[in-house]
Amino acid sequence: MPFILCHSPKGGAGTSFVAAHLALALAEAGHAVTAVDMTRQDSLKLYFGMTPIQAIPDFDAPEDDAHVVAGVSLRQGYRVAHTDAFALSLARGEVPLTGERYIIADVSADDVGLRALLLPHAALVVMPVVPTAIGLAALTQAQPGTPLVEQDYTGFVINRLDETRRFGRNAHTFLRELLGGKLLGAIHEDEAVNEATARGQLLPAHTAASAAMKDIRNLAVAVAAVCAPGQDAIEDVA
Amino acid sequence: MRKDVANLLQRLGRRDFQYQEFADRFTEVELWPIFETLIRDPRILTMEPQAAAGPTMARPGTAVADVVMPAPRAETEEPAVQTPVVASAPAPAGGERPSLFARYGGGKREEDVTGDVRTLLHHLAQQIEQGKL
Repeated sequence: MPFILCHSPKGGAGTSFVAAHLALALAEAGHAVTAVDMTRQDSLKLYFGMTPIQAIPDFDAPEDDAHVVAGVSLRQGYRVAHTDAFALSLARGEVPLTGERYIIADVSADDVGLRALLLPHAALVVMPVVPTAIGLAALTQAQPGTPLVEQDYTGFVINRLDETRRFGRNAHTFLRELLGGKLLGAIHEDEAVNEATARGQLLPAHTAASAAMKDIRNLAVAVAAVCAPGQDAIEDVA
Repeated sequence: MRKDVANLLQRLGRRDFQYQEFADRFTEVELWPIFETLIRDPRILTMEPQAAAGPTMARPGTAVADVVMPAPRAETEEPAVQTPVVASAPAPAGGERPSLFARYGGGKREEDVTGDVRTLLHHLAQQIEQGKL
């Protein structure tokens, strides 16, 4: 089943937000989903109504230790992913990236080493892009050695799109032209995201009509279509 | 929800807004220099001569899965360890650059627009307005 790597070349692009809510939307759609926080910030859980002091099980903890919120099993993978044994375990196929579940990993922008380690195992890289000049410029750093528009197994999503802003609107059109079908969707700026997190609530529960959540659901449909059985390319090659 | 928004919804007799995306028309996009910089950057668009045979980007109507997922990876594929592109690599001649908007012209190039993105955009905009594209 699909291992989805969420990573952006730019910090602050909302990768954790996208990873968390993509997991929620896929779970809503009836899929089994595990979300793995592979960042040092440990903030993914905040989008699931948890507090910073609350802990989630390690990635290598027994299945019985699962912490499930809204159908999403949450795991903390930063410690495990940065052990010496992780790369070896990954190469041996001992890391549970296959099975019947979607596994969505949130990887920090600067953690390019972990990204490189996980990339060969990913069915899809979901890359959030903020529609700002700096956000667009960061796309040049997406994957050294491969032009952006030729990066396979990669889908882009514009995050925090505000179409009342001239540049954001133009950037959306530009990226649509540049990326074509690789642009999987756009998520509108939505203050409800911050408000829901501040209240310790899930976004769909806090604001049923959330524009961002609606966009995320559309993104989940696109991601599920890309990762659907029959797409030979998604098979794990570990 | 802000009170003024709540009041407006109440006056409209609605519980929430419906969001509708009003995307810019292609012809209305402002030509920000960052756009031109990016499409001239070899880390964004390929500069390989092979691209002359056709655009590297997806065409409208192409299934998303076909665009995102190319041919299956070979089982012997090595992990992605690649040589970074030198940032200062010189851009090739405009004629070798795949047209960002080639989809509008079926991949063909116009002699008078090569190498000048702004001219290209204006040229295409005129053709769109004239209903030629």
